[in-house]
Amino acid sequence: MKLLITLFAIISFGANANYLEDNLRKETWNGVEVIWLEDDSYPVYDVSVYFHAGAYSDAPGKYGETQLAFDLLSTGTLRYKQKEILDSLEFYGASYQASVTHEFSSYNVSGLVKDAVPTMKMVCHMFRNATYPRAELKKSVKRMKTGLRNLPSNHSGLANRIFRKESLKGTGYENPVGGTLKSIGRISSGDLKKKIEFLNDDIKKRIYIKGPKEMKALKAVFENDCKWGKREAVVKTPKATKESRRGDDKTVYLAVVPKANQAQIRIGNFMTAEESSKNHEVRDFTSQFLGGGFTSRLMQEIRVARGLTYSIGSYASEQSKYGRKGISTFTKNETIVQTLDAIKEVLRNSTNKIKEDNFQMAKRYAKGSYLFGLESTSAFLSNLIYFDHVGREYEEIYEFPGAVDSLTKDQVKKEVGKLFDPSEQLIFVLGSKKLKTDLEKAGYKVKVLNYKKYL
Amino acid sequence: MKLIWLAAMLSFLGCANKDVKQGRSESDLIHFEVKEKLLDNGLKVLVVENHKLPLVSYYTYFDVGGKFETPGITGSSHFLEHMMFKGAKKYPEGEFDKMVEGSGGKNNAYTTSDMTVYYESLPSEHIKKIIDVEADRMQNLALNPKSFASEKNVVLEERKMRYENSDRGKIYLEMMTSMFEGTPYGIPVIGKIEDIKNVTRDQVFEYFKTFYAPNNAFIVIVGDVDSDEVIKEVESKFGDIPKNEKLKERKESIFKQNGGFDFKGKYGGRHIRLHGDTKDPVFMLGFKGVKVGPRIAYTLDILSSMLGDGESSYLSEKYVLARKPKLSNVYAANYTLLESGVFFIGGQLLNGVSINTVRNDLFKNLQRGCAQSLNERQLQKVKNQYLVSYLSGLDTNQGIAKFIGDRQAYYGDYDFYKKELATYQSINLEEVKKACKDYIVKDNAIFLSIWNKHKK
Repeated sequence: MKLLITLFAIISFGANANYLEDNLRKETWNGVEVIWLEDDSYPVYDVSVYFHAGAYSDAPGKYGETQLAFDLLSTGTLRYKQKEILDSLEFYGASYQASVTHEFSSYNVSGLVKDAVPTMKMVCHMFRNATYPRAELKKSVKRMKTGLRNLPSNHSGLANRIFRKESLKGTGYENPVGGTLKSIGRISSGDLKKKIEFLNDDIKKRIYIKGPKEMKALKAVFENDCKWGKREAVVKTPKATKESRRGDDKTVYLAVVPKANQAQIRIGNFMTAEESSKNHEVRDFTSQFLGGGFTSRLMQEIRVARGLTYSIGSYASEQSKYGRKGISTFTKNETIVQTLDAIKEVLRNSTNKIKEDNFQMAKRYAKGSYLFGLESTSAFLSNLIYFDHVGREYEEIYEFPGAVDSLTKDQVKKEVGKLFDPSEQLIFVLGSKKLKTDLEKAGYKVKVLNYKKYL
Repeated sequence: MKLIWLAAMLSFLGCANKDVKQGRSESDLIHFEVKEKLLDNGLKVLVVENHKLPLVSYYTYFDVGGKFETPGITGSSHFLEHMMFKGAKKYPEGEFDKMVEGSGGKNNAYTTSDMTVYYESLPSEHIKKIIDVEADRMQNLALNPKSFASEKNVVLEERKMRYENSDRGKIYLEMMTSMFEGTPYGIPVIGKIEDIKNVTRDQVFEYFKTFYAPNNAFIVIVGDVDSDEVIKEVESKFGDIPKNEKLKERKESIFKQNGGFDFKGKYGGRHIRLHGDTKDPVFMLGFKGVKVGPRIAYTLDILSSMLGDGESSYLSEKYVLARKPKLSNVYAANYTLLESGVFFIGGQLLNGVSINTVRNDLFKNLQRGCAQSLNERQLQKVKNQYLVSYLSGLDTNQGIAKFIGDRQAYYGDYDFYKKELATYQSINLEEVKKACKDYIVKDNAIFLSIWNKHKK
């Protein structure tokens, strides 16, 4: 917790950032690096195990394999049935779930400190002895298919899924982490066993812990039960390059869904490995300045001044080999053209004459929201995992406020042009059939997509 | 009282003791030093000093929500929540957000059937400013006509997003409307479309003047502040705002006009079919519940968790993880409101499973399941899960402020969590089984389903 005190102290009083060593312990357990944030505020803990392999390692046509290998760990082992595993973990009040990206995965467990050892023993047992019984796999796949079959009734979720695929096409990262209707049906129990063995025995790992001194007892559990040792293998992922990039301000990709009385809008593109690897501060600030809060340019113009939507936001985030940037909103069918025009207008003009007070306010907001995002210790832990994965130093967290303070209007203007130049964005709309006519009337070339192909 | 979880799921739209150790009783694990002050005009202030970080969270609870709205002005509580960010006398439109976000803070609000809550988190050096801004909008809200008109469009789009375009939103709204038919809780918090379109500035202003009075609110402040100083500051800014002397009579008259809180709907297990987009039916099964407070409310909380919280719960094992599963997911919740409540079960069918089969099966098996399948281990599991949930939300000022504020709002006592935890711990299996027998009955139920094959 002192770590965070320091964090805020730095912002408020310009203190030095040398306190990390007092709060963050780094150890090696059986060759595996351990990053331990000591915190005795409450008798609860968080443990995250990082695996340097993600959905990109899924076999061709079997997308969703990594996610499924983690999610179905509890379906049975050599010794225990699903019912016994679930009953044991839930009895302790423990939470356990995986988070999978294309580049890396983490398995996250939390609960009461007094139950940390038996909980982690069971988790390790699952990792080492999962059998993925066929009957359970079949049932799980059926449940997942139900979710996907019904996604069209969630227009926002469907829009996110199609936009992600279209905007990342050709980069190697376009397939959904959770798989598709077709791909999850191809995954066998044997595939999952191989995958978990690969994650156990081949792949580089790190262990992240938040909790009090008593968490030291987990050392023996990781060594004797998980039996994870030093491994250096990582799944190499491709660098996203500009050649795959599509999109311009005259073309709209439209997915028609029945009975839509609102149009979902997504505008953005992927970032290349090169773009993702530098200028983090200016990029983070620029996306906040455009669409990060109620006083952001997009919110003020699209919601407050014109009443065209309930919410609008922008983002720019990156992994080590690619990134994504975009704007997300919705509007009523009748105002689709008006809203697209208004967004483009903001992107083109919002940085022409940035008022000094707006600029300073945006800086304070960016610094504040960055730090509030780290206020809870579990969020702080997730950030450390991410920083380690992309190879950034923890000190950058402390340097962020100073870096934002030093940004000039000119830098931000250039970054908006670089990140969100309307002529280089892919515009995607999901909504009713009538939108096609309205968009064409307004001069857009409309490419109609069949949403069913994205399930 | 599962307010924490239920608020997250259903709501519409000091400092932690450093020396907490293992092995102490559950209620000893959490302790806050709360400084309390009741101003002459009825405004209550609760302050918890937490000097871990130079931050503060500021919550304002107003005792007004959908249940106070009369025909023609449904949705006014929620609309007013939007308009509270559109400027007042001293701080005109835009100034509030500039002040909060411009100081690196964040803010938001939510409205339920029972209450409207505003909250801000920001560096503690700005505490005096936020008190000034909040006092300004409590007494001098602008309700600028131009913003009033444009905000209606925003709310209508929000309504579409949350309910009209969401099958889950639609079925939830219909469940609340039908379970609480003829009572104030049957009024949709978001409002009827025609009322949102037609409500006038004068009507909303009158609503504001009635309910945004100091004796209808309380403030919770948690963070790096001096409690005596902050209370003094609140007193100086809010102390002169006059109380609404007729508030109590006005509320009683509205509740009477809206039908009172006794259940008046048509139950008996009837099936309401809604047309939606979903290819596999989504269902909700509502039972008459109880209001927040009595022991039975806690017992029903535990029952709902034993039935439907987690993969090892009774319903999950029986319908999702079974050898021949019928559902892709299932959950149960006990939603206790200030004056009434509803216990419900929900889920989605797997492809090819008949909705009538599930409905009949649930009515047939719930009672039997409670009698035969609920056991001591499941009960202890739920008690363990509650403890983890309590502790997990308390590592931020905002988490502590909401924890205290919810207890003040629902029980009139911020310190009630101690009794709450003790009550949960004292409930035994027989009580849970009896609650199931008494409340989970077809005569008190309405079954709802939404599906693209149901008639429009």
